[in-house]
Amino acid sequence: MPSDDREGTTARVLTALTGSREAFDSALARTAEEVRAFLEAHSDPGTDGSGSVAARLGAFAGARIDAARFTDLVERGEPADRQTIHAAQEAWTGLVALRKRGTELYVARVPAGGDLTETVSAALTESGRGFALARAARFVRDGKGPTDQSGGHPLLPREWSTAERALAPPLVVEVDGADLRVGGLADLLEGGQKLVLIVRGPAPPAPLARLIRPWLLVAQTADPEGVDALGGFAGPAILALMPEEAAVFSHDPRRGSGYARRLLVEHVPEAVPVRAGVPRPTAAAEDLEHLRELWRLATLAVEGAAAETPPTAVTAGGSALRGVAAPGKPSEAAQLGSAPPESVAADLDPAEPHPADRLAGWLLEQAGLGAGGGG
Amino acid sequence: MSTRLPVVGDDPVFSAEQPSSPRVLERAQYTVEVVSDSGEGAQSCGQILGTVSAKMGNGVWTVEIIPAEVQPPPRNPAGASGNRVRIGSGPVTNWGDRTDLIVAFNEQALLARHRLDALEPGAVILIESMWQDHDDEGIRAEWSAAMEELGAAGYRIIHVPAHEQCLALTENPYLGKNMFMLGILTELFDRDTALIGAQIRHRFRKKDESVAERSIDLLELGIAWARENLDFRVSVPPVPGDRDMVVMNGNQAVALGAVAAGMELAAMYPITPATSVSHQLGEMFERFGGIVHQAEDEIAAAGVAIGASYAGKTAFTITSGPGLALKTEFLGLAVMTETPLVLVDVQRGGPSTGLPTKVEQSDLLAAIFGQPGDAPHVVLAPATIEECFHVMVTARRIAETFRALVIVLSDANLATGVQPFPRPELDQAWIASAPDQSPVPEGKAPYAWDEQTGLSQRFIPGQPGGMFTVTGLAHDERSKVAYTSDINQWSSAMRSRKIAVLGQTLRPPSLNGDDAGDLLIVGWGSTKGAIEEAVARARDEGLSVSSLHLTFLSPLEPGLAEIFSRFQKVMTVEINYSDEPDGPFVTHQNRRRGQLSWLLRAQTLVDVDCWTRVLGEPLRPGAILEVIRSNCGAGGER
Amino acid sequence: MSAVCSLFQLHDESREYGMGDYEGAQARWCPGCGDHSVLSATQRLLARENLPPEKTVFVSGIGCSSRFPHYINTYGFHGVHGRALPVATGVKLHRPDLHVFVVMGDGDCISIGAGHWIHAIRYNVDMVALLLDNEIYGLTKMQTSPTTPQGYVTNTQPRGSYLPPMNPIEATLGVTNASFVAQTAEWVPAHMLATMEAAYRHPGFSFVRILQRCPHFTDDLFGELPKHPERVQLLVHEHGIDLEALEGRFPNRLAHDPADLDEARRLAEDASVIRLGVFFRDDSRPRYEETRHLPAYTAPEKLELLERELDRYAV
Ligand SMILES: Cc1ncc(C[n+]2csc(CCOP(=O)(O)OP(=O)(O)O)c2C)c(N)n1
Ligand SMILES: [Mg+2]
Repeated sequence: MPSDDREGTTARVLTALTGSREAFDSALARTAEEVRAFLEAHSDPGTDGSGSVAARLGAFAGARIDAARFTDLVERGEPADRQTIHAAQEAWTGLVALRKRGTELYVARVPAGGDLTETVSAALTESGRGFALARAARFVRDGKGPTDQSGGHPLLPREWSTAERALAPPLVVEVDGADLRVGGLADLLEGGQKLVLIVRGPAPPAPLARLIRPWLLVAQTADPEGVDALGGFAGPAILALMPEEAAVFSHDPRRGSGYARRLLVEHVPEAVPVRAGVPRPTAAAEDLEHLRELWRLATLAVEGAAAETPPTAVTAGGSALRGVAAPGKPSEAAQLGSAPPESVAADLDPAEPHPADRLAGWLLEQAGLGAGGGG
Repeated sequence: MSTRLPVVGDDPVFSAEQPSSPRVLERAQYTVEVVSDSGEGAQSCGQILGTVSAKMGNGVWTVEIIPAEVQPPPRNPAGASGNRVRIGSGPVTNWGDRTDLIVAFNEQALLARHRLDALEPGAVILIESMWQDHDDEGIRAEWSAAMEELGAAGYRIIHVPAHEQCLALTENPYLGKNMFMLGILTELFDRDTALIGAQIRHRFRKKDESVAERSIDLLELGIAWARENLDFRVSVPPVPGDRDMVVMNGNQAVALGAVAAGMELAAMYPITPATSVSHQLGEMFERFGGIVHQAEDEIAAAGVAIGASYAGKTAFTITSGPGLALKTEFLGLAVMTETPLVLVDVQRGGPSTGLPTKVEQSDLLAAIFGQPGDAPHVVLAPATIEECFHVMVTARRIAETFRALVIVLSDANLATGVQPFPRPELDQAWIASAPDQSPVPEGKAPYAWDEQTGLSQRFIPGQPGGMFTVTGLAHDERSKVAYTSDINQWSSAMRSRKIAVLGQTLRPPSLNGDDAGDLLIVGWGSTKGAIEEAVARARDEGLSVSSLHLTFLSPLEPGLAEIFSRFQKVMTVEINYSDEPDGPFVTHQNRRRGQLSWLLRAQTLVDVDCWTRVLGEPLRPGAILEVIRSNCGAGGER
Repeated sequence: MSAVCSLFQLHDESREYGMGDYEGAQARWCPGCGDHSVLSATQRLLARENLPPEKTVFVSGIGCSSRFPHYINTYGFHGVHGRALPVATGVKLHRPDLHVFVVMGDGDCISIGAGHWIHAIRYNVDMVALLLDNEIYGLTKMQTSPTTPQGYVTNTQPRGSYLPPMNPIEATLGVTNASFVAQTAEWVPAHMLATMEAAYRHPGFSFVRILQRCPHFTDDLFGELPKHPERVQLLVHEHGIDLEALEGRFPNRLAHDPADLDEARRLAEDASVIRLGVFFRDDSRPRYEETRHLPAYTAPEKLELLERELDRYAV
């Protein structure tokens, strides 16, 4: 990763995350507009100012429509009490302010020596304010009156509902290799959550290996273009842009069932480079070993007992991250991925999902992300 | 060189060869035309002159001169294409009567304008002179014949060797001569060359940079030629205003107005002169989250707009006469289901394909009454380009509030005319908010008509508890198909009552001129500027005439019968066909009248007369003045 | 693509819907009319897919079959004759979060609505289009429809329909960007339900022709068919429909891969046997509403953008 062009890299990653950013952003905007609709319908139509009936009718109506009479006859409305209006207004202002933050909402930096999980959690709590504001506004809209669930209160990611998680705001995190403690992120990687770590300085070689689970897209790459792999994936994903010497692999649930299909290892360093600054060498070595072990399992599943030695640098078939296939076509996806030889891959029964995948499928279903299109 | 050189200023004698120091003609307003074969760029030449004049603070009104065919034969009077630009010190509200100066790329286009009586007596003609000595004997003969005809009319004719001059910079002067001519006008009117250059660059922004650069070279060549060869300049000093202004044409205004109204879906099928609204929106709408859907036909366009409106924000569809005809059945459905919908009809000449590029106001009655069955709805007519912008906000709001169809009648004159107007002071309250998705309280009906107003709150898909089926069949409050006779009577009354209620909120129209007098002229739509200019001139002559301009045509603005009663005679002035009262077989009873007069007679029981023309061009104030002169003190129609 | 309309929708209670939740007004079709069985299959589909009634819209034209939305408890739009598809397109373009179904008769879709039909296939907007084909105009009392068999006597063509009937499957398969084309029959409810389910799950415009009995006017066309399963051939495939339960009743089965468009066209053209199944399916065809999907903006943002736009016209 070119460390000299940090902003460029962040911008590149943000572009790759456009889909999930837009989904969250648009939901914020639509919610704000729904709150405005509520305000329009329930404010006192007699009030002056921009919300007045005359203003709403526009300049063409100006001299032609008698706004007072119009209010009298037509806009009789159902004015809500002042507290309700106030609460709705607060929600509106909060949502609009959140939108104003633009891409800044989706970027966080871990201060040197800081806690990665804490930073991520805090950043998500901040963008997740949108969920809190919407909850408050909905309460008001549905006539349940203003509550202390007011928009000002933060809503921790663990308090998000399944549906909220599915729409989770993505996050790009700049972090020093020395601060890469990713274990705590596992709890946050649910629903549609996307996390991209931009790692600077000396780093352990396979820090994300410990996060690999059947339903989670996990990838390490040194190539900023690699982040495009996240595009179009509906489930949770974490990707790290690592320094050159780190392991390069991707675990993509879209490739099918079983590690043999999903895991693609492009490069595994021989050992943890004994370099000044690589933190927690023991944990680093464990992560690396874990990756090797998984990869060996995957290869065993493919080649039977034939694969004795764990591969150190498998490059056949090109980039690990390119093995992404169209959703709904697992067998083809498996063929695009390089590791399992085609003939063997074809032998795996695609109709028989791994139990873990069934679980993942069920979880996705719960999150409203299951297979099956719209009507 | 023409021999007679009259009437520019007081001194008739000029020479194109040896200007000493040019004479400056101070004018409060001045009209210029630029005409060529189509494709030679007279239109962009005129448009740039108009836009830059507006940007310099002048009042401006431009009108496109459009040939009816896409590729008319060259050097044919039917092919004259270009622009009229009326420039004023103060606001200009219409295209005026005749042009003071015309730039013509060939003598046939020029003849066409002369024969249409578009040239002021003694007008200055700047004519491309290449045809005079053309290799083709036939062309030389045509030139001589034309010069004879024009010479007899007493214009001041100046030869411009544009082609020859341009050859110095380009191999093909046919593409670029317009910039040379623009240079001449730039010099004549002392236009800001930086602004002109910026307009040229904008126009060619999608082409190679060299195109704009060559154009600017040609412009400078024209400026230099005019400096050396023309002995007069025209000065129309702008009166500085204190408001920020914008300048655009009526279709651009409709497009921007739709955005200001917060609309998010425009469905259309291409038809002149409405199409350019979709061009404008096509460029910008997506930046606002809006979609222009080009449907497979006008019927589908109406259907898509209705579907979108039904499911959320009010959508609109835009068309012209033939398209309005096709949409008719869907308009009835919008009325019956009380689905809000805005339809913009940019009127052109009709019936049938009629005069596709020319202005007419012949859709009024079709717009109000054209839907089979009783289909009460709202019809609005903006009168200026500024109103083309603002009408969209009001139309959207009325459509939404009254669950109504709102038809906006623009026309080709507004659509292509360019005029500066005060920059709209945008208001958030104009913008449509998101569709209501809150749960519907139990027991509430989708057509819970308020007995007094006929209004009801619509349910929008997505609202829990609001499931119901809208239907074009007669239906009751719950949208159940009506099987008893009283339901139809009642629901018809409810739909009609909404329109009456809107009418009740309207103020009586204000009069231009005195509250009472000999003659009242009533107009609607784009004729406002011409009518008011004519009335002003007539009043200067001491005639007792006032005018009134209607913008709400359904429901009609209130108090008309009372206003009419204060005048000896009331007549409409419109751009649609009516029988002459003394025409063969025409009687007072069977006379087919102007469409507004027909409406006013029915609604006020006043014997409203009319004067209408369908000349394929906007009305001229001078012609209206003649009508006023001959009708003042004439009493009612007999 | 997330089709969430606003954050408010994230809190809609999730609940299980049963057949009863979709029950609308009492259906007023003739006894024995095939439309009844289409209705109950549809209600079964909605329950199976657990579609919230308020997020589901049925759009129809005019005809007996087009009364359909009245009888199902979702949002419904009973529009004008032949023009259901443009309305449905407008709904889905503006509100991708809604589930859209279109119900049309053969006159409605194939005759007066033919132009819209062809273009809707090409737009490939995600919706299920059901053609309830009784091969006759029912509501207006037995006039020839484009699908009426040649020689069939009707009130408008009492000496028999003059021309060979139009083949809606063949026509649909001929349109660029067609993405799901199937045929089923309402007297084989299991097949109809499976077909509708496949159609619903297909992302894009799913065209399903349902052969429909009209005991009142065309009893002799389809009335006897339920007794003659040998005249039916099932197209079976793992990517199409393959119901074990039907094996016994319909022995005539043909394996057909719905990815094979040429074969689909060949099978559609051959009228010697009535084929039920998925003729063609391609989930990857471009969808108009997806191509045109745009981010949303708040009012203050729109004002700011519009100010910038007006700057371009500033004097
Ligand atoms: C514009 C228009 N033309 C004609 C009709 C009359 N009409 C109503 S339904 C129908 C045909 C119905 O046949 P089909 O579409 O096959 O539906 P079915 O009744 O058989 O279900 C006709 C011609 C109409 N309602 N509107
Ligand atoms: Mg039928």
